Amino acid sequence: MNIIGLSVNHNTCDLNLREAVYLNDEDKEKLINHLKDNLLTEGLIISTCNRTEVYGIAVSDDITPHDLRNALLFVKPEIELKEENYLPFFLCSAVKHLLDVATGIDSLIVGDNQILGQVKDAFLFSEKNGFLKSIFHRLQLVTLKTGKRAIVETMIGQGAVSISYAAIKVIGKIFNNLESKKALVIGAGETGELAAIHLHDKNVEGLTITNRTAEKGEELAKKVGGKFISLNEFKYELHNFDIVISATSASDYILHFEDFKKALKKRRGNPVVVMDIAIPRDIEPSVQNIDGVFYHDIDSLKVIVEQNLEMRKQEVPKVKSIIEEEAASFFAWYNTLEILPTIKLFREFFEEIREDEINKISHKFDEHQLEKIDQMTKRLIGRVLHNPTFHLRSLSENGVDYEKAAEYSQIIRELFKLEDKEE
Amino acid sequence: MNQTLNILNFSLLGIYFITFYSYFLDFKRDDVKFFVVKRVLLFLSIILSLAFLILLAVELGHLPVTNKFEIFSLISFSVIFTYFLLELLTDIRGTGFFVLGIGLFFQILSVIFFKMEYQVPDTLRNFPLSSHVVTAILSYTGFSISGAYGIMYIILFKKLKQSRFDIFFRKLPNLEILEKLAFVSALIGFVLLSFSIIVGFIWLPRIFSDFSYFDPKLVSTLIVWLFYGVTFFKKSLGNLYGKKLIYLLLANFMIAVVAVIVSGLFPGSFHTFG
Repeated sequence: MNIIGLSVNHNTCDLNLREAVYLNDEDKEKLINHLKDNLLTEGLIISTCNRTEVYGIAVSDDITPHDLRNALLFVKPEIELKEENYLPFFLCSAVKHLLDVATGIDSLIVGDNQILGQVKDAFLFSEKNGFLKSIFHRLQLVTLKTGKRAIVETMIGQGAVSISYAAIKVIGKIFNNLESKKALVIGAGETGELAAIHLHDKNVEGLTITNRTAEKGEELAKKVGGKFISLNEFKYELHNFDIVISATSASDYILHFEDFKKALKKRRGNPVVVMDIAIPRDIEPSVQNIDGVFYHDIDSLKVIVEQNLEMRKQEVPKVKSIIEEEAASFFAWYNTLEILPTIKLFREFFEEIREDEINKISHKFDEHQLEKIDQMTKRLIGRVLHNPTFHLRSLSENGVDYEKAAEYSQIIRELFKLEDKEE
Repeated sequence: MNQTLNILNFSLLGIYFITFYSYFLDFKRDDVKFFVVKRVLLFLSIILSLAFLILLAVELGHLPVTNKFEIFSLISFSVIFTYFLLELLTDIRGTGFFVLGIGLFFQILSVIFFKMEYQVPDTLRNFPLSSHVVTAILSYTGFSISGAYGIMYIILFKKLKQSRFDIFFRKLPNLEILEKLAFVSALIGFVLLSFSIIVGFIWLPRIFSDFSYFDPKLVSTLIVWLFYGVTFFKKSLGNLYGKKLIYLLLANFMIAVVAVIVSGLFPGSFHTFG
């Protein structure tokens, strides 16, 4: 009854291979069926853009993570997965790695706050496909609890770690309520789109998009519930915006000092936040000398991202200590799984003897006396068995003397011929 | 009893310092453990401070507003209590280090000027006059808190302009919130000062035989009131906000501080306490 695992992730292979290994729902169903038929009694499959991982309870001790790799190749026969492209895990290391993944400390961007939701979905997928039984159900509870504790008790998920989100964070330090602000996003490329989505998520009241290609700009405006304005017109409307984010691929400045000087005059000094997240820059940097203009470019925003990543890295030891605690609690439960049947058989063995002896003398006593004898013998058996069963359970729970516990369990089974009884 | 009150006043300084230090540590470090501790300490400071003021009032038989020691104790309490309410109502937690520093400063003054044996003029036992003094004290508390938030605004404004994303950027609330807190604190101070001035104008001529409309303290208070009044009037016209408003509030606060210091230098005023 071993937990085994396999991980193909951003540390072990490049994006091309990660994309090739990625499993959609159909692939996952196929893999689960294959695993259930051949290798695992229960398990879990996580597949995201940065990792594909398989965990489970092996049906026999000779099954290893390399068998999981072969199972993966059964679903994805076209890929070449070398030994250096995946990490194998056994028992404790498998559980700890799963907890590392769920808390985001193993993510490409440390503290990634999407991964816990993805792990949660993976457990639900296993459950839906009959692949989640008692052990992985328990592991599900521990994993989600650990992920939540990491978020609540540490700063692992705090701070912006992308340029566009850092820009939104800076805007949030100037304006209190973005719902009443008007924003202009110049450029509908990937960066511009991300910024527009962040602004939309912050419920910015008036979101306007401008782009060289009108069609693309209109499409983004529709996506974020904003309006489109032509690149030839937006300068005349500049004074209407509290927030300007520029992310075009233009080779020259598209907004100059004078543009903002005029806009600020019309705004009667009302401040405007200007985020130039384009390379090369779209906005003349001298606009920062205008009193009411808060200008930030990609270099200054990068500082925030780096600071936050560093802060998150400093939180990793705290998260690791939470993982240690939760993994220990899981194994305290898990280690008793093999001992419990022995304890149960041991107790049943004594109980049968007791009942047999009571039956033999039952005709010599009245009902009241028999009840007294019954209670007394139950107490006697309870006291006799208390120390050995308690000791056995403690040995297995602490996880350190697990081998000793297994040895004692075997001795008890042999001495009292419990195996015969089990059969 | 005097000895007990003196020890209590010293103990208050201790707990104020610990509270201030825990807010400082919370500001400096991102550690969740200070998050709870600092609030418990602040609550404890308020309870002890309140108990001390009640004990003082019972022992003296009048409101503790008759000498410098009592007034500084009251200001200190009002600063931390106001901050406690602000933190509770607005859930803004990064500014305590600045505001509680003012409370600590006044508590230090309270310990320095501790004095229990003195003659309290009968005029100061008069209720309307006590309310005049208390509201005047609270109004200056409001101006002080406004000044603290104004300074925070300027610090954050400069950090944002210079793209310096340090601890002030991370910990302070946004500029609009700081502006609002500075404005509201000053407005409350202004309303209280207005009340204090009205009560003073009604009662002072009746109580003090040497009352003069040209008393330095009275004139300086009116100047402070006038400056704040003009600021609020301009604000009501809708063309005063952001950095301009904050600079004006800070200038008013400086005028208030200078007015208090300068008016205290004039000898022979009817308007002086023990």
